[in-house]
Parts: sequence; structure tokens; C-alpha cells
Amino acid sequence: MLIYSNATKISDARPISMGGMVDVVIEDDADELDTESQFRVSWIRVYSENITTQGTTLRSPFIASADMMLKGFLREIADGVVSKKRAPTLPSYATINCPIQPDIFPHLLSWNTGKFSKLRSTTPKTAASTKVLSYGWVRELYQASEQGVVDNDIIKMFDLIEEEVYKDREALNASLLTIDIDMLAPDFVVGIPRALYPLRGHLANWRGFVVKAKQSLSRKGLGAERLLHGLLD
Amino acid sequence: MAPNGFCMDFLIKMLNDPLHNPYDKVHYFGFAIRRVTASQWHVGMLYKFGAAEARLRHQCSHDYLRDEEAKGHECHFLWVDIAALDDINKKLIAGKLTKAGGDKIPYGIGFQEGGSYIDNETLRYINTNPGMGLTCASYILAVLASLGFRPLDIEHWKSTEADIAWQTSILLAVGIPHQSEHYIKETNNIGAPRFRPEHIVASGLESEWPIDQLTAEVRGSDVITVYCSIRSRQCA
Repeated sequence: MLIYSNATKISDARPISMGGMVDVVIEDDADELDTESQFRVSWIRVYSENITTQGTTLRSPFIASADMMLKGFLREIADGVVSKKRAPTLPSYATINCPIQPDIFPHLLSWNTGKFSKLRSTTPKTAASTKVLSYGWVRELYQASEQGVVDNDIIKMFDLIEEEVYKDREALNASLLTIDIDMLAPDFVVGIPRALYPLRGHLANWRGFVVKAKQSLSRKGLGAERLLHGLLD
Repeated sequence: MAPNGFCMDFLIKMLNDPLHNPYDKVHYFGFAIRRVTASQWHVGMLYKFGAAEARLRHQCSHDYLRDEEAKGHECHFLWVDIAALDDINKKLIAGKLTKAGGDKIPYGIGFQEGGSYIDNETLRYINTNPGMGLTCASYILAVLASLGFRPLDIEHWKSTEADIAWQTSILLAVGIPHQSEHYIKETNNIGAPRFRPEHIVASGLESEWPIDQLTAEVRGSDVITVYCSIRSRQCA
């Protein structure tokens, strides 16, 4: 089962009073036509766009991070709908999932938990078959990881990343924060930060990704230090 | 034993003779070295990806990069697998090289770490400033650096008297127009640290990167000894 949405568009929705809507589609790949549900999530976020420091007003550096947090939160809600579990509140979600960015909170002025309206549905879904909501390029790598990586998937990975670099570098940076590294084959866990190595100075989340990659590879006993040679300096 | 403590048999096993170990046996990525003249060596990247046959990519001279099937070079290039890299990383490098197209790269002796020589996406050479260019060895360093690899401890590399003599002569011989701004600026690079072909191959023999200059000199010297030993028996 796949869950996906246009949540990557959240940042594009800024003119709508800091809120907007995202569509979430929950799809069972065993039989897509008969087991697809679609939800529309309305949401609102209000956090300060600007911060003032030493008399100078600057654009908040937390917007991208807050956006990512919100996207992850919406994913959690979608999972909750699927599994009929109670969705977490935004602060509890953020505390657990974004501990590296606690500074966001002073700039996050208010929020709601997201409101779901069901557009259509066929079969009930279960949590056991729920996968993660993610960016398109990451989703392709999840799928390749699941099927077993072949040489051509490496080329595909480079192509997908290059496309993202040209298309939306901010979204690419944001996606690094949300990738579930444990769902990726080691080839991609190592390949993503290597492909982005020359851009590391422009991608604030690159280093965090490498740290998470190291933890994941270490947990799997795959020789993280060696695999990530040159990236951990 | 080889003069520097390596068992000669071990080195002979590490430095593959394609007449016995074909290039296609490379695990995705390796280095290949050949002797050009009595004192001039040349190094390239050997790679094999998917079902394609092994290829060699090497910076030959000024504005002359070659990417060609390795087959046919058996009497010249010996090759090594890279001990410091696991298959995942070698696969990534080979994949990147497979995506790369042809290129023209100015020859240059003054390699700078982080010098923005290579476009990460296409591996195309992008630094068009006169006085910037790459040798066969530093081209490999630039490609590997674009993916975050550091085979040599470049930061602490020192130039030697022998390097200066070589740099002076190679600039005259490598095909750079002598009246060009590039040539004039390249002469200012004489005295820069030199990364030799055998240093690159020596890094392939070591199990951890980066290797320091002393290790590269010692192992590089072993590589040359073994190369001469192998080739003196064949392809004479």
C-alpha cells in the first residue's frame, strides 16, 4: 500500500493565509482500482515569516524546516486515519520527530491539527500495510529498494537527484529531512549524500542526512565509517 | 620481498595483468596504469557497469580526454581493484562515469582541492580559467572528490625538486600552445605539489583512504617495480 499526496506543494500555498489543502491518496498496490481512498486535508499554519535580531528584520530561517515538520505531521495524520488511531498533536509530533529544530517553536504561532474530509473510498485499510508519504523521487527509491537494487537503479538515482536539483533545491533540502533511511537500500543511503556532496554547503539538511545514514548503516552492521568515507569529516 | 616490505607475490596479485585477469573482472571501478616512456607513467580509471564491457577513462594530454573500451590495451595498462572501497561505493563511481559524456579538459599541473573542476551532474570540466587544468592523476582526484572521496592526503602534500623538473618539461611537451594565456599561467604553477600516476595506483592498494605522501611514494615505487617486472616478461 502506498500513501502519497501533493503535500510537497505546501510551501507553494503560502498566499492562502498561511494555510491550504493537500490531497492524500491511499492506494493499495495489490489492486489499485478497487482499493483507493482519497482524503483532502485542510490545514492552517501560522508562524512568523520574519525574525528581528539586533534591530534587523530577517526572513525566518525556520520556514523550510517548519514546512517539513508540517508535512511529516500530515503524513502521521494520514497514517492515523488509515489505522484508525488517534493522530498526535503537532507539538508532540514535532518533539519526537524534529528534536534537532526546537528553535522552530517560538516562531510557530498557532496551528490546527488538520481536518480530513473523505473524497472517496473503497475498501477499509489497515495500518500493517501502510507505507510512508514522501516526495516522488524518494518514493521511486523506496520502491527500487524494496524490489532489490540493480545497476540501472544507480543511474536512476543520479537522474532523479539531478532533476530535483534543477527543479526545486529547497524542496530537495527539505526532503532530506523526511527520508526514512531504513526504507532505503544501502546503495541509496550512501549514494544520496555522495550525489549531493558538492551541494552540501547549500543543503542545510545534508549533514543531518549523513548522520542518520551513519546510524542506520551502523545498526545494520554494514561498516558505516567505510561506506561514508570522506563524508563524515 | 619487495624493497619496501610488501611481498612481491602480494603486489603481483594486486596489480592485475589483463592478459591473465581481464579488465572485465574489475569490481565496478579500479585504476589502470601504463608506462609511456622510460620515466613517464600514465593512469586512468577502469570501470565496468551493468552488462557493458570494461572501459577506460583517462586524461591523455591537453584538451584530450579519452573514454574507450579497455579491451585492446592489454599490453599497456595493468590494473588494480580499489581495496579501500566496498562494492557500493565502487558501483556509485562506475555509475557516475557511465553517465558522463565526452569532454575536453585543459592540461594543468596546479591541482587545488575543492577547485571546482568537475560538474557533479555531468562530470564535465567546468573550470575555464587560464592556469587551471588537470593531469591524468589529478583528473581522477577531481572526479573522486566530486563524490566525496579523498584517496590522497592532498592537504599535506609537499612538492619535490623532481616534481619541478617534471612540471617544466611536461608543460612543454603536452600540447598547450606556448603563446596562450593558459600556458603562461601554468608556468606559475611549477613547484605545486605533484600527484603522480603511481601515487593514485598506490592508493588503490591501501585499505584505508586517504593515504599520506610517504606511503604513496613507497607503494608507488613498488607499483613501478612490479609493473616493470611483469611487463619485462611480456609484450616486450
